[in-house]
Amino acid sequence: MSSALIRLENISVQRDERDILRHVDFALDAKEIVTLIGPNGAGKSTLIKILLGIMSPNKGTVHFSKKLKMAYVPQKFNPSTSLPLRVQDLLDLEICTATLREEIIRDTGIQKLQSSKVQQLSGGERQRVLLARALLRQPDILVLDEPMQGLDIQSEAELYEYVRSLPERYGCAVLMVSHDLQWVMQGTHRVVCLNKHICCSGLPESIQQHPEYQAIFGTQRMFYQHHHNHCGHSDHAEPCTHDPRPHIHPEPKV
Amino acid sequence: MMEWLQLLLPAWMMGTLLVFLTAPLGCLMLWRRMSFFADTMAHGTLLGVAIAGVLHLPLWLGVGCLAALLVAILWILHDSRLPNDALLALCSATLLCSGLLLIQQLPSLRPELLSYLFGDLLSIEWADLPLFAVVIAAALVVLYRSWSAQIQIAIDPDIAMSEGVNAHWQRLIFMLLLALFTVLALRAVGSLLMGALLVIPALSARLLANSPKQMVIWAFILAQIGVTVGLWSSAALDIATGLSIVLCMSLCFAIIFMAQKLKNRSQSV
Repeated sequence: MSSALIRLENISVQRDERDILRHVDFALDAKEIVTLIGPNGAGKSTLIKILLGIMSPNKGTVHFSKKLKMAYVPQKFNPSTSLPLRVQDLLDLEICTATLREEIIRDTGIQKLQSSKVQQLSGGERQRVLLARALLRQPDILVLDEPMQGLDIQSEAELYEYVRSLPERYGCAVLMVSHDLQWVMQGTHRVVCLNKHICCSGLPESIQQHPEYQAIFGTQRMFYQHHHNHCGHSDHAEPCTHDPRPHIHPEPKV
Repeated sequence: MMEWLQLLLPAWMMGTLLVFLTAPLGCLMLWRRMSFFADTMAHGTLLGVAIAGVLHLPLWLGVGCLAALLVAILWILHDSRLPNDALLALCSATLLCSGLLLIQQLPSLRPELLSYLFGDLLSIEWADLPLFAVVIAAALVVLYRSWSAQIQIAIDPDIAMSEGVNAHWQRLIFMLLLALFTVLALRAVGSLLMGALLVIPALSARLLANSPKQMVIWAFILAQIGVTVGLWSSAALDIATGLSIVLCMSLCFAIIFMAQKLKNRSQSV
């Protein structure tokens, strides 16, 4: 436990006399990919907000191993339309080297969105831009709250692959909230199932045996499916440079 | 002509200086959806003036007390059933009425009432300007240092907070800057019109800008035009300066708005 980047101890949250979280312990190690699953209203977003320091718990403590750099891709993102903001202005707020910036912009497939207005992006485009922005920070911990919204199936698979490669490439730990059991089984190092308290946590394979998990998600098994050579598909509108490293293709022009 | 210049030049300098603050502050106010708050604060200055009159305090201290009072009131009034903008409208009306009532009871202030309401830029003298310039420069330094944090909060408060921005602190800084602006603008445009000085150039700038920086620059240019044209036309046409400045800014907005609509229509035809 001592190697954990961040450790949440005995966290309880009440709002309007309702329990949101009860006695939750949670820790995240460096370069670890953890997925948080649980039914609606289980307190997933609350737990994330406590970890990020956006909310403080009614009880319990958060321990940091050092001064951590966080990056957050929220579920909802609606900046005021009175703010004129292009994608490039949003990305300009993060200071990093030009090479890294170029690489991340390419890998998230947002080259062509640079001068688009942030408020006018489609759901999928917005997720890509937010992910790119978060990565430009070069965080220790990347937190993704249901990042698959608005992505088509192709991009979704690519996003999984990309996220899975992030700890190796950029040295960050990833904490992701997901409803997608497919991702849970093939993408994560560890799964934490939350329903106001931690129901169970462990390797994707073992967690499916757990009675509390089965009570929430049923007993249907998911199998690991890994696609190699994912650039091999020919139906994509955009030509690909066939970078061997995982990346997300830009959305095809309609 | 020289007499005119003697009268108008300090007023114009003052207006010009003020615009350095109104342009960025007005844009932030729009982005953070706080124009109701600014308006309430502006209307509250009248009560601040009255408090200062009753307690024999300097004007800025009276207005400062009022600003603190307003923040406290809003803090207490917080209730999820009551929409924030409506609460601000409530505060705004209450403060304005109690301010007016109190000033009418004070013989020393009563003759000045109109200038507190609509401002009297022409009463500015050369001797007032250095202090003004220093205060505005200090405010700009504060604003410059918290600028990127303010923009991050305007974009998304949750992301900003998760990445180490102290949202409460930044909100307080913004409110204090607004309070400072109301003190400075009271003599220039008065309690009723100072909200317009913030909001109209920023609104017009929004129509022209593609990025936050562009918007501040446009707001600055348009406010500068408003102050300059408004001031000189007030002298030429013999009307109140505050009114002519605000109307001039509104005219700028109307021209830009109409021009864009016409352009869009001619493009779509």
